[in-house]
Amino acid sequence: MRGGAVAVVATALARPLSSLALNASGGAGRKALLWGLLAAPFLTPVILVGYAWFNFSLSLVHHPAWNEAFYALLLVFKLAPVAVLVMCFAPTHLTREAIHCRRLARGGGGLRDGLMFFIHGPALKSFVAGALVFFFAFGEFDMARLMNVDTWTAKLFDAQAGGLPIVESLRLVALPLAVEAALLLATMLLLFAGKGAPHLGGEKPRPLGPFGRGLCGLYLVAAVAVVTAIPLVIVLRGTLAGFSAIRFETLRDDVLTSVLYAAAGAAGAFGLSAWFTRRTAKSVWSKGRFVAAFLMSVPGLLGGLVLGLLLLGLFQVRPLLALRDTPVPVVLALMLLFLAFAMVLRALMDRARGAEGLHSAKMLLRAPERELRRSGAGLVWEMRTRTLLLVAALLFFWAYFEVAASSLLAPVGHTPVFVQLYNQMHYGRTAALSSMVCIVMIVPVIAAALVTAAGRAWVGWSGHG
Amino acid sequence: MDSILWELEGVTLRGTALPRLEGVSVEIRAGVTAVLGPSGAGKTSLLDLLVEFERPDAGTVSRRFDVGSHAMPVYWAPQSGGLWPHLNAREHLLRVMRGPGGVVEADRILALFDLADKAAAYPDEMSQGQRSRLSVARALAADPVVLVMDEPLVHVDTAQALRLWDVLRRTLSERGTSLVFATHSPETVLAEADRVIAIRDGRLLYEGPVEELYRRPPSRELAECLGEANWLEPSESRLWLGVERNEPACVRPEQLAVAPAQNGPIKVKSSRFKGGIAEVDLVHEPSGAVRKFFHRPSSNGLHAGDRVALKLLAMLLAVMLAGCGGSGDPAMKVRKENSWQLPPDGVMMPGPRSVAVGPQDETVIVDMKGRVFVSAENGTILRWWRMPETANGRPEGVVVMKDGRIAISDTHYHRVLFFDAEGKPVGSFGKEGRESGEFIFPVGITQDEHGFLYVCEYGSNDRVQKFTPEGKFVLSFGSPGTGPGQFERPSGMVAHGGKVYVADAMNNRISVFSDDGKFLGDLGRPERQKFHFPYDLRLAPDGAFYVVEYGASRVSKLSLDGTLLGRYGAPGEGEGQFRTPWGIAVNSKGRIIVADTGNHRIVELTP
Amino acid sequence: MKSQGSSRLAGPARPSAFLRWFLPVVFAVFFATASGCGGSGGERLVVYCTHDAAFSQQILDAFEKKTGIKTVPVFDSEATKSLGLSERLIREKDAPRCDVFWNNELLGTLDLADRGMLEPYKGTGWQRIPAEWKDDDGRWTGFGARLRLVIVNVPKFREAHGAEAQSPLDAVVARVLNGDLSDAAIAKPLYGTTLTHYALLWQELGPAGLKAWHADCRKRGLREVNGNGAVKDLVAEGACAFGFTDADDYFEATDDGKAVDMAPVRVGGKVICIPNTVAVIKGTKRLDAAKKLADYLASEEAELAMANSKSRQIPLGPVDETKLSEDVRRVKALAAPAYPLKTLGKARAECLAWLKGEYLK
Repeated sequence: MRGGAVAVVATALARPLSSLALNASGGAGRKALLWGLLAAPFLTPVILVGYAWFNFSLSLVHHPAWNEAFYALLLVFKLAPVAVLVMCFAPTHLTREAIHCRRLARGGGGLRDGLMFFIHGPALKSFVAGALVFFFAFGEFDMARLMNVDTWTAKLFDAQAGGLPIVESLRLVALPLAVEAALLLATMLLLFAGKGAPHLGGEKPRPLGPFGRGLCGLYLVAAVAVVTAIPLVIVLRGTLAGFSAIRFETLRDDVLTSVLYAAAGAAGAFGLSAWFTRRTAKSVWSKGRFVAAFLMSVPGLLGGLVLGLLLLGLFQVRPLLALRDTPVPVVLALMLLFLAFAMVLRALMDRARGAEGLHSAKMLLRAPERELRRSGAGLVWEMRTRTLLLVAALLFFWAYFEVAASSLLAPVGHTPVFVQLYNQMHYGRTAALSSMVCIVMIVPVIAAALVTAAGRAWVGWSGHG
Repeated sequence: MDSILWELEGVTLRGTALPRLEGVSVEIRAGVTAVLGPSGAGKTSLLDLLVEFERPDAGTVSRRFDVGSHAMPVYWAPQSGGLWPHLNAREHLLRVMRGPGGVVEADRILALFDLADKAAAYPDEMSQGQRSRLSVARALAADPVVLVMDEPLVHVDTAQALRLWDVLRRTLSERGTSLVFATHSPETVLAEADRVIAIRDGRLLYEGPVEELYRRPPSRELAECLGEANWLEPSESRLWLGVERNEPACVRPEQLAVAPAQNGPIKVKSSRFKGGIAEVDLVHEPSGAVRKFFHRPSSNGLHAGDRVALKLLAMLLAVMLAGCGGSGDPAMKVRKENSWQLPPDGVMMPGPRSVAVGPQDETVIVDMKGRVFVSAENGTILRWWRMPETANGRPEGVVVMKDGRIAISDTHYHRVLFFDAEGKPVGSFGKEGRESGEFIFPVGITQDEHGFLYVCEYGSNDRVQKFTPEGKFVLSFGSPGTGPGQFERPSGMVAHGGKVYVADAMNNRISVFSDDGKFLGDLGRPERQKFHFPYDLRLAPDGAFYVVEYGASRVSKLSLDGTLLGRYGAPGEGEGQFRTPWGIAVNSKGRIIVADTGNHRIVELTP
Repeated sequence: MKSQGSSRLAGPARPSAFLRWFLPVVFAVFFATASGCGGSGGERLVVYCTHDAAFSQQILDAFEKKTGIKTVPVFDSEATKSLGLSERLIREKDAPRCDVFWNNELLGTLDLADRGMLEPYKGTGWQRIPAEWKDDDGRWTGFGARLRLVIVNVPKFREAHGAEAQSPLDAVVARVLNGDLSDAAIAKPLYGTTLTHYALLWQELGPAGLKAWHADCRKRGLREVNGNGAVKDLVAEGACAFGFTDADDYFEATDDGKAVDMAPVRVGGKVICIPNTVAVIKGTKRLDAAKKLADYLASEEAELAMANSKSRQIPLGPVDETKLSEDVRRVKALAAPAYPLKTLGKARAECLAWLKGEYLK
């Protein structure tokens, strides 16, 4: 229910916001700022948000409905960017002209006809956007628990108290899982089925009036303030004072461990999704591969806790026991957890970019002169690799901040740093903790910057090849 | 042989339900190749394979050319444009161009494509037409060996498209770039392509010269690929034309006349005028058969109820009859035959078009690329130069004048150019027009014993004009048409003994005029000579005429009175064969030099 | 044609060159590193520890310094708290990787003992701890305990109760027994010390009695939150007037300068005093080292260290009292008589079964 409501509201908000984003005038700097503001709430780790508003939520203890509403508001703020992204980049089969043609011809065609039209046109984007938001909202756990909101995820968590056979856990998640799986199947069908359809670029939504722009601006400021700025200030105040108390060597090792898990998990999910969505330029997906992709995505929908438990059990079995104390289980878990999102993101990306334009760039790589090859490599970087890395970075981000499965499956003595910090957050804030959070949060940014720099260097280097 | 760009072997490309390409094996040659077929035929798939946008599910695509001095092997202009959304128009060009002077050159190319004011615009700020122009402009700027274009300029309005094709053609020829393009427009194929690949439902139907497909399509389906055609089964030929034949024939609208006939069995049911071509539904009353014909519109039009007769224009009859049994012709004796090729131009191997012989028996050759060669008897090139302009088209006629100057009819620039023996331009005359001293498309050129020049032209103003050696207009004779003294593409001449002999190509005859323009009659009896597109003729020192036949791929020898003395050649690539030969010359020793255009070679025959 | 210009095309397309290069590098680095740190071999003692990481790490470090035995702690995670390390031990029963289990409460350890998963060991540590805080067979030893208590926000309480709030404890008792609880808080009783609290009530009041009390409390508006920490925060911040929590949480609030007071929870006149427990896991390959740690944790040194940490655990064995802080001495004085938690094994299991039914409705 809540997931659905959040999805609807976020998707509704996404319409004007995507219009604002796509019709943004002014220089690249202004556009970047706008996109930055849009994306910031989503990229703020959910635990940070929950943790920051933990006390406020507690103060609403006498007004559970308000608490609930506040939680939903936070979810909307956090997840609307997902919907905006889909609205902006998911192409539809229908152009605005086609929609207008339909409008002109109104009167003809029955209800069924109209419904089919709606499904192929306006509903497609909204559906995909809504579905993605729903996935996030529905499976959300950390914030819900910190804010003491009743969700099925929290219930599942409680059910583990005093031990619960894994079969019983699976029975408990069966219904939500079925809901998610059905939604995922529908989304994947929509995204993959249309792959052969021609790409319709350059479609922009109608620009907003000044009033609408003002409202959107206000919304953006509010969302960023509530979800990103305030939590950051709360968590990071006293950061500088705390640096002296950090045991840097331990932290370095822990961060490295986390980065490696997350990188391997993200790379795995990314690679698998690449394989599943792979295609020869325009050819269609095969049914076998689609089914395999879907089946592989389902375990991730179980959520970190149940998936972690499943794998924990799995790696108790004899032949796999040898791998139990290696990073394999945790990497596998991270990979499976984010595979569904990787898949949807890749499919979206593949559909959003013009394959012909990309190939036009790749053809330059065949030039004998280095200058042209480099130009081609630069174009490929700008149009494809950079976006792919963005997807990979997002997966890395999620994997890096994942706690439930990581804490269950990480090899003894190599617990991801964020799991440790997360535990410590529950014991109260200290300056040292704030400093560590600060460092831990900066790491993925640095990692992303390094990879981007490596990519750029590669663009230069590839001119040699 | 021209060079092969790609070799496709058993190529199959899967599709959703049916394969997009199935078992296609074809060689794609240098030059301009059109890929023709209806929507969904597999044109785009074929091009996608050439540019490696797709890989075959079965079979191989092998590239057989080197980059050479070009910037890159292949570039394309896909149907969707394949533009880069984050770059403006100028940046699109700059990113594919090499070397310095980028911005100036980029802006020049943008201006050529009417995009000067859009240099800073991004693709989403452009119209569809502008985007498709930018895509083509970018492809040109990339300077590849081969340009691959999928329905280029399809969103551009007709007038502009024609102009842009000119730009394209000019640039391709300047750079020696080959072009492979997909289209469903027969007009574009006929206007632009040397060769054509026809596909349908993912299967290869035809690969070969455009002209060949137009004139002698192997099937009705292929005939219709290149526009309106009357496909006549043998029984239909008999019924409607009264011609006995063993095989089906393709009669193009311009080859068919529908003329009034008082008591004929054929009646007009309805008639529609469609510009250059008219469509008529006819009833053959005795049999009750009804059929639609495409034909060249007659001046006064047809009306329902008119009684008419169908007439094949003479040259077609020749073709058809030649098909039945032209084997009774006497053979022409050739003691020795040797052939040689002109130097390549980039990857292109342009064929020779027109030949002439000078006072010292040096041969002057004009080729398809607008290059002029002077060669010794053995094929050694002594010197060569290019025509000053070739963008609009290449010259088609050449003569070495008595004073040593070389006169070339610069067909598509509506003029005659004079060069000295070294290739220096030394004058010209003529401009576009229908008045005296003006030309539409001057082709053949010759000089008589007194030094007068004769220039024949086509392009709805078919005639011959006589000039002084300095290019002053003297007189003109002939008019377009099929009647006596009229021309359908006069394309070669001999002026000798106070007479002018004109190869009237489409009318398949040699017409004779006095040097003051009086029509004297046909040379000999055309119905016996059975010419098939006589394109050029020369008088040999022994007093015999040699006629080169473009359509029949042969050389015919005639006596001065027009009696057929012998024939040599058949379509093909080997010895004793020609393919669409265009020009002919005979030197002082009686050696015959043939511009074997379609085979890209010069053939020398020693009788 | 020159052969270098030729190229043949067949087969499917490949991914972007950069990613072809990038992915293998990530994996290579990963596995290179993983092979270096994988496995729990060597003389490293694996300790499952549910005590607060910040405090227990210091004690393990001290142990390492003293004995040279390296420990690898696996801390209880908030993210998987409901599952708990004792649950994980049960799941790993057939192939244990844990050598020593340091539990911050007793009932979970009792469960493991009942399942026969603990190695009996009566070392120096076991010997110094009084009988009521250790297993007769030596399967586990208690040490460093904390009190279950009611934390009271003094100003808020005075506001509500006026003059009678001079003795808040009485008012609290009155309220808990039969008053408005809408400004009182308790953690979900499914885990942790609240579960111990409930199990004890199950035994004392009987199932029917507890169920009635539970339902009554809910009716009177008792707020349930996730964990004792949240209870403490609610009371400390004044959102609630009082709540049930542990002594360590209470001290956290006083350390933060909050105006809170406390009173131990008494059932039948006895306080609820919850010890840490240490046990050696059966089947450990590092038995000697494990025993050393068990001895160390139940030693005076470790108990003093825990007493003097911020969580102020009450030493159970004999210690030099002069080394204890005022706070610890105060709670230590309150810690007797204590309810014999050793007897609650069965009650815990039954109570939890009922609670889960209740909370997963």
